Amino acid sequence: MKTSFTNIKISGVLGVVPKRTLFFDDEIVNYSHSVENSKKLKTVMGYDQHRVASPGVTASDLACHGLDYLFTKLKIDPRSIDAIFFISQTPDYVLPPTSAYIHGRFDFSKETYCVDINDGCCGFIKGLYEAGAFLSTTSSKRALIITGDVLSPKVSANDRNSFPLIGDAVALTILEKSNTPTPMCVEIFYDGKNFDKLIVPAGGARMPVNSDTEKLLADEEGNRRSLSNLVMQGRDVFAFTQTTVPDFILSFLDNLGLSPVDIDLFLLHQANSFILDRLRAKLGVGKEKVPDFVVRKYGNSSSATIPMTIASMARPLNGVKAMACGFGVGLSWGGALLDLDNLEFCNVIES
Amino acid sequence: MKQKILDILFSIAPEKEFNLSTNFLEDGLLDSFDVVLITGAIEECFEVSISGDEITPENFSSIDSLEALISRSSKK
Repeated sequence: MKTSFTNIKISGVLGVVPKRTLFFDDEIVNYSHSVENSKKLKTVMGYDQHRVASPGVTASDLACHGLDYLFTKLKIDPRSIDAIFFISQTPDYVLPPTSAYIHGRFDFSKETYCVDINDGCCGFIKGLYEAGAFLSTTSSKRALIITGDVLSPKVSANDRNSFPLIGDAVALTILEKSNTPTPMCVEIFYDGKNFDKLIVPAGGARMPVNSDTEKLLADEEGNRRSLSNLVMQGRDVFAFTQTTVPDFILSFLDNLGLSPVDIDLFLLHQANSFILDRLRAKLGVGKEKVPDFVVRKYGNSSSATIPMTIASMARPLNGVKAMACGFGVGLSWGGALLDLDNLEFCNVIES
Repeated sequence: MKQKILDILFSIAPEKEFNLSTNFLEDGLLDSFDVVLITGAIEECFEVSISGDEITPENFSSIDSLEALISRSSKK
């Protein structure tokens, strides 16, 4: 899928993270691997600290905390928001949609369009596409994209491959009509044949949870997890990030007559520092153009990491030509060319 | 170079018998995170940059394949 939207821009981004911070140094005892090797991974992978929500806190709780901030502190009118796109792998209920629950928590108009989308690391790109298409085909002016997860309950604390990186967070992004001259170009791809490379096997209709699915079993690398936990085929996913993803980024830019040197900022999904460092090398750009501080400071919050990077930038984002790229579960990957300028809000708050 | 590679392997997995193996991954001597650590150690020891698409099971399967990988990797 390739498209572009004119006269649409991101007008604000807010990241919301739980206050609770866990440190890798404290978690090493939970893993069956040697302490010395685990400590070496700290630097290479970006294992340091991550935000993990307290039990019972959901993605919608983080989202509502952020919306309360937007409506109360920043005085944004909820009735000015024409659509809510909630993109997450951790909905509150099987039904109703979490977007409907969020709609009911505030004074949104009954005409506000509510959509839930189940997606992960490429979810922000999909949100830009869905919200962009919505704004382009209706008279509506403003859409809210909520991306992120509270995925930590689905990751085994005895899984060194995944738990140190997982970060609970939600990002709120406002997309609205504007006179922005530069089109917002979006491309999204899928490889559903590899749907099981990143998966939580149990808990859906295909494998309902029972006592067997909750048993912790050790894999060949010594990680212990149940069928209700996230499992990642690390070798295959890594190969995907180092072949498909960089080829896509270069092709995306080439289609627009651009090369990596023309981009001020690469907003890459914060998978881990090892992957990001090698993607940066493939693109041939400096570290300042490919930030990895979000995964190091907050953890990998799937569809929230790209807007979290925008919201965490120390420098003002004025006149910044950025390429956002998400990749992961699906498998899916996608990119968007963004002109970031004069954002009305751009920060991270704790819940 | 071979001895330095062996030293790196033993520093990460001291209990494994790399000398007796013809395929480290098939013999279960290395897991995916060992590969990450070996990549970092090789880059530091030999002052090379290993491209992400070179981090494959085949290139980490033996001393010879690692030696070939180091030889064709670009100097830092």
